[in-house]
Amino acid sequence: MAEPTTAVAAAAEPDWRRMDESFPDRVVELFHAHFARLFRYLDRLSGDPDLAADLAQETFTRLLARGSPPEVPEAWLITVATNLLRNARAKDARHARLMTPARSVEVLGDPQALPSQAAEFSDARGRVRAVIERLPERDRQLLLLRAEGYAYREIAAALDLHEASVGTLLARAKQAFRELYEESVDASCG
Amino acid sequence: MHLVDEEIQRILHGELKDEPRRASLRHLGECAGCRARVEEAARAEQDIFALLEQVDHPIPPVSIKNLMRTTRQGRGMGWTRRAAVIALVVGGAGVAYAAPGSPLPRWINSIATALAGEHPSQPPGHTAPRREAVTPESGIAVAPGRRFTITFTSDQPSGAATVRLTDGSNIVVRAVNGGAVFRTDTGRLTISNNRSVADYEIDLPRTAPWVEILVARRRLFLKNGARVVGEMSTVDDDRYSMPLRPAKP
Repeated sequence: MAEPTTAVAAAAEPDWRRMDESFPDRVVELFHAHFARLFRYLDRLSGDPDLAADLAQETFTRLLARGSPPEVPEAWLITVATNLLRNARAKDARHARLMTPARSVEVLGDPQALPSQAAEFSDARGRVRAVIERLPERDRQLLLLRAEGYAYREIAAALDLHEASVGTLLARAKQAFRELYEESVDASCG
Repeated sequence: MHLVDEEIQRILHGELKDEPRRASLRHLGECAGCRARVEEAARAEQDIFALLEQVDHPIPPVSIKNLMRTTRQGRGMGWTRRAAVIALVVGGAGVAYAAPGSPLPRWINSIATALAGEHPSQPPGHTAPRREAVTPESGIAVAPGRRFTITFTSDQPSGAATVRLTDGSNIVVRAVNGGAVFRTDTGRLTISNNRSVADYEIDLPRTAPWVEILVARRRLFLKNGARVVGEMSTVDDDRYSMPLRPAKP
């Protein structure tokens, strides 16, 4: 996967003067193929649909700013979207740190909720949300990307993994999800 | 040899190809245990994906056309502002230069000759003819877009425009030995050259799909794709020249 970090750092304003003639049409194609998937991925990752919508749009703005299609557009979109979310979370965490130190740990870190925390979510939706947040970051991304139908090659490029091991890692991520979910069901019943 | 997790996942997701796929399917035909594992993996995945759908929100109604338009407008406003500043500076310089009694041409001439190690050829107080004076050059660079029109608002008593096809990405227009006011808008560059005697150098990207040059409403030049037509003379393969004098009746 090329240029994930620099892509995010790049200027968000497209240089229309340098843009390839067919590139806007390609962006339209990519938008139709990936906007909904990216939104859902970001929404599930963040639990914040407004933020997810903003970041999904920002991702395509940055694609326009690039002026030419990336080598693996799907992986590029995922990487940029994920980095934007990470940046947004880091920013939130900075704000949170200024206000309440305890909250900042919760926002910044890979969430390691206590078993009692899962029990706070009585409804199924809240339970799933809690499980997603308790998964290690890589498992979470793997699972959510595969749920959106991304190919192993695209997932590997976006998450900087060996393509040959994506299936194994995916199996473990699903196992982890199931265990956490069953644990939260047990906690709410018990 | 039973299937490993990697193979089971790849079978589920259609990620096995050719011989590995054939070998795995052959094995599944013979091994009830692995068949059960694949079926169980498929069920588990289905359950998980169904659970994930519970946290979904509706897809926001975002239009890529609007997104592109907004982004382009953002860019366009910045470019318009920059063009306005350039036009203001060039125009201001032109007005200051051309204003009756303006000392600017004399100053420029004096500075130029002093730098060249010569004495001013004219006595103080004499305003040099504009054509012969060392005049400020002005120019502008713009993106060609899908269609672009360069308009000279007037004929000139003298001067010519030379068009050069380049490998660059911008249209670049320079006024040589004279001034003019440049104004840009989307797909358009207007050169206010009333009473100017400047020559103009116009660089056009070879990749620009469609560019026309109008002089006092007459189209003297058209580049449509690779084809170039108009009332101009060909200097060489990449250069064309057109006088800016009025057309003969």
